[in-house]
Amino acid sequence: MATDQDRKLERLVDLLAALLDASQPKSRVELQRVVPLYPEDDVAARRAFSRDVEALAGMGVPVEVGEGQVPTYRVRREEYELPDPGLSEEEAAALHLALATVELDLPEGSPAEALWKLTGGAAERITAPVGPTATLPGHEHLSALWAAVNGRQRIRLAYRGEPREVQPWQLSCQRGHWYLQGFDAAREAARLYRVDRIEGPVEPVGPVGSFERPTTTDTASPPPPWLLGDEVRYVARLWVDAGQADFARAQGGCEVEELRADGSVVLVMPVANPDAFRSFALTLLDHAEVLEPPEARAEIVRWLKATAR
Amino acid sequence: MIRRTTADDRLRRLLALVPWVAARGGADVDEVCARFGCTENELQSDLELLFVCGVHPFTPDALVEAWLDDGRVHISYADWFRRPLRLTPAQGLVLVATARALLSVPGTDPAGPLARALEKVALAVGAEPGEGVEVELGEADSGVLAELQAASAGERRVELDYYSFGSDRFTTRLVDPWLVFSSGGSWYLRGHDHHAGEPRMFRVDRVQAARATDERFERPADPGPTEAYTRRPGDPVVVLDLEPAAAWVAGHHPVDDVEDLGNGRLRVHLPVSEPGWLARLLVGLGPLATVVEGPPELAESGRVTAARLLRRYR
Repeated sequence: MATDQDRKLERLVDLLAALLDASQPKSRVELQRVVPLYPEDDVAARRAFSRDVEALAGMGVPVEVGEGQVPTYRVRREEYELPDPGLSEEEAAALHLALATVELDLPEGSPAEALWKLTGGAAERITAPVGPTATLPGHEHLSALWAAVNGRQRIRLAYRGEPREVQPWQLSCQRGHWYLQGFDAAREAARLYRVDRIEGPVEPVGPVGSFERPTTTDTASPPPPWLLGDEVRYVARLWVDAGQADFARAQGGCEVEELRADGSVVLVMPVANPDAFRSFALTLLDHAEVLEPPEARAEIVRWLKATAR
Repeated sequence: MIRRTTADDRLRRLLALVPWVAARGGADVDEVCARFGCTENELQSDLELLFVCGVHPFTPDALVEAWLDDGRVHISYADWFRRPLRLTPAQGLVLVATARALLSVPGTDPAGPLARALEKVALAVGAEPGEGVEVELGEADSGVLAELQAASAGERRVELDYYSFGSDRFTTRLVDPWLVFSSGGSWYLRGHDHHAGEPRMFRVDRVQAARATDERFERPADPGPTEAYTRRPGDPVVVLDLEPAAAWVAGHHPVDDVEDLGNGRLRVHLPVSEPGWLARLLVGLGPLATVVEGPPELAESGRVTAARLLRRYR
């Protein structure tokens, strides 16, 4: 016996077939004439139709909506269809294994469905052997940023309380955070944005393919947090004991000025984000001391006093 | 958790299943069910429904043909659905980021099947291979990481020279390396610590040296979750009030409860595995966090640590 869900599914399949079959954009009324199972009542039919269009768009069907006096709808085949990637069995298995090993959870990012599309799923369940298992952080802006990076489309976003227009060049996941590297139009300079600090929505601006990415990706590796800022505020000298010296140096963004006989080091570090520098220095507890400049020392003292109170 | 299958879920499955079966001129029911994660009954009802689908005027030549016969699935005249729906941006990113993450692990063949698959997938989603996304799973000495991975795979006990962030101490430990994994941008080792007599978590970038021994171990059936922090029964909880600039704590650490205090301030219930870890967190947060409740030695730990550090700056 056909259920409500069956009827809805049948209507969605028929609507999608009609949208793909149409050589011209069609209005809602035209589509409802050729797609059965819409309610007879016009208000209910209108509501059901817009829910159906939303459902299709939500799963990634490129429904093109014509904004005339009467809106029209169509789906272009070349935009709907996934080109055959021509994966060998071995390559398909490698992808399945990668998705079983590394986890990235995104809305509308179901890896199982992606593999259905690309490889017709897997005949046998593929599970990760003992080996690298990894979880990457998800974030709501990632899909929009990735689409803009791929389409080379400019975006508008807010960061540090200011609106910015950015040519998005690359996404990178480092130290457990996603970063967007791009070109800030107003500041006329390359910038790095931490994706979880982007405020408000990410909006595409202008056409796709509107800029060229730089050929060198020497800035691909994000600097440590104390270098994330619009300008260098001061150059700090930080003493770190022998036990923590390697860890501190591995964070990058510093040079060893002095290696002492006891194995401790003095690091020279340009600082664009004083808050992040203070956090880093305090993370090292008794194993580190800010030597210079006086303003950075004073900030540590102020902070510790406020904490000790 | 079992979620009820919706019409959307069934459509997603059909749009992938139909082109796959049609391109092969039919397929075994068992195989289709295994590949597309459904039961034979579900498949049957979806095909019955597909059988009446098509386009106006719904004459036989304008309908999909789909039926089950003698353990085989047949689908034809489904020309509208001859190819699967393209990947969503999120699916494209998940595939590319996942593959790039694995390729960043030392020892992965940079020209192997995964690298070739990544190149083909990138082209299929309209991305330029090798551009657009970079993933690093964590800073770690590649020698130490390789030694731990080999010991874990070969089920050999390891000796670690380890600096514990939580207790701020250097120690040498004997560990059965159950799992090596990356989470939150760092590599971790989870295994049985013979000194502690219980499972422990180690950060690989805090391992100064790792030496595999000749002793074998047996990996438990459930080696535990691949998360940086797993709550142990009896871990104490502190209640913290966070200023807006410290609200990230609620998303970054596993908290039991978050209350909105208004104006961007939050109250969180934070389980604590190591007192030293909390002291470090509190000193870092400084005036942005206030301990409202908790065992006295924990509640005071930020204050005590800050006072000790201050002496260095006098």
